[in-house]
Amino acid sequence: MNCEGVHQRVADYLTGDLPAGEALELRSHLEICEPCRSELGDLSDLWLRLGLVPDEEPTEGLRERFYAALAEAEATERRGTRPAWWLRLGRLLGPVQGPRWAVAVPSLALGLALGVAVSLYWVGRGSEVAEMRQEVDSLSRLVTLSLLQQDSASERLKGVSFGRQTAPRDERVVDALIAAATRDPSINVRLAAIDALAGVRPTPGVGAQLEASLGDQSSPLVQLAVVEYLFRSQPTRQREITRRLLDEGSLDEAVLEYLASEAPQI
Amino acid sequence: MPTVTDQELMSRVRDGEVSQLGELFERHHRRLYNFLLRMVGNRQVAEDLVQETFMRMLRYRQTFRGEGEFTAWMFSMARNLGATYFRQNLRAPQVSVEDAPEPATESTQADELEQADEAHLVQRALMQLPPDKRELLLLSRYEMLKHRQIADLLGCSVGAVKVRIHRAMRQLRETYNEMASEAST
Repeated sequence: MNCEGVHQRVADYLTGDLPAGEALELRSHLEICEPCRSELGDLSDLWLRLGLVPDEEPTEGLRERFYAALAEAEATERRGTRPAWWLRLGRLLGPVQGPRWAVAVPSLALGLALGVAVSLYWVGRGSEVAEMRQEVDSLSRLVTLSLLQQDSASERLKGVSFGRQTAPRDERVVDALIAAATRDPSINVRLAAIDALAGVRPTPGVGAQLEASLGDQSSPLVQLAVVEYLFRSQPTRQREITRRLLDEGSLDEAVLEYLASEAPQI
Repeated sequence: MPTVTDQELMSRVRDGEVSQLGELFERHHRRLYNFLLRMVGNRQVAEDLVQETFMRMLRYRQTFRGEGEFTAWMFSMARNLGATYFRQNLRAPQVSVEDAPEPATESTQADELEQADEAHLVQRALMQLPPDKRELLLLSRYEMLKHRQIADLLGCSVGAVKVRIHRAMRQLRETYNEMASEAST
């Protein structure tokens, strides 16, 4: 082994990844080459000294903030997808044996029976319920619009949470959620608003406004949330949207990577 | 040895069991914190970046294919955030050495104090390296990632990783020697 060979193996030597045969050759060279011996000695010594730097403990606040954010994410997840126990049950049972209708038909029958019973009970009180719902919606809209105007981001998050319930029946709340999703200074509020809009029957207007805001969204998380919303609400345009965003290349690197990885499946 | 692997936990998170991210946090947040602390040299920023890394893992969980190693995937998220941090702080390309964390020194034993001084010196030298070289040494020396894993993370060849580690160590030696001679005078 010559000096060049030693230089090529410094990293492997330091990390202890040098094969035994090469280590033997390297030691033989070091015995006759003072510059290489000195170089490798210095670097090995420094490599060991790096190990003196102790690890630190983060503050307990990090754990608290993480679990608060995780709880919020879990709540969002529960609203949008199957619950965790369902997935655990699925794993426990494995694939359903037999035809799907063998499970679906009894479940449907049970659901219908319950539905009929509840309807019979409420049929005489229909107008009362409608009035109460209108009042609740009106109050909820008022609270939503008011909270979304607050300076505090946590108050505006509450506003989004209220808006989530009435948005499916109230266009003014939908408009307020769009404004929050596209212009709110807090990323968390934007994300929550986009998530709330996902619960509203998709309209071209909502999708167009969110899509138009992509250029102004600096957060990759928000960018990804908008892309996911567009994919879900406009499945026939997935290919067009993906191609355009990849061509423009103006989104965050990680979002573009995600799009590129999803593109073949689309 | 954990009974459930990191890959399995992350696959569950991807499939909707968001709470499983808590276990991954417990396993890896100290490691990520120390990596990011040594990268950015500021405890509060490091904690924010750890939090953001886990939120990114949640947000981009569909990109986890379960084939590669979880650790490498996690560090790819963390280093992207670190790179973004440095891009946004271009006016301060070098981390202030004053920000370098002081090693804890509880003992009054002379040799232990000397060791703590030594640790502080080498840490300050490390903080003086350009971020890309510092990151390389952190991944190799502290995170014990294999050269192949680092090459995958950086998108370069294994040979290039080895050459860069050698260069980074040489630069660290120069900086360290300068600081050591200043400290002794």
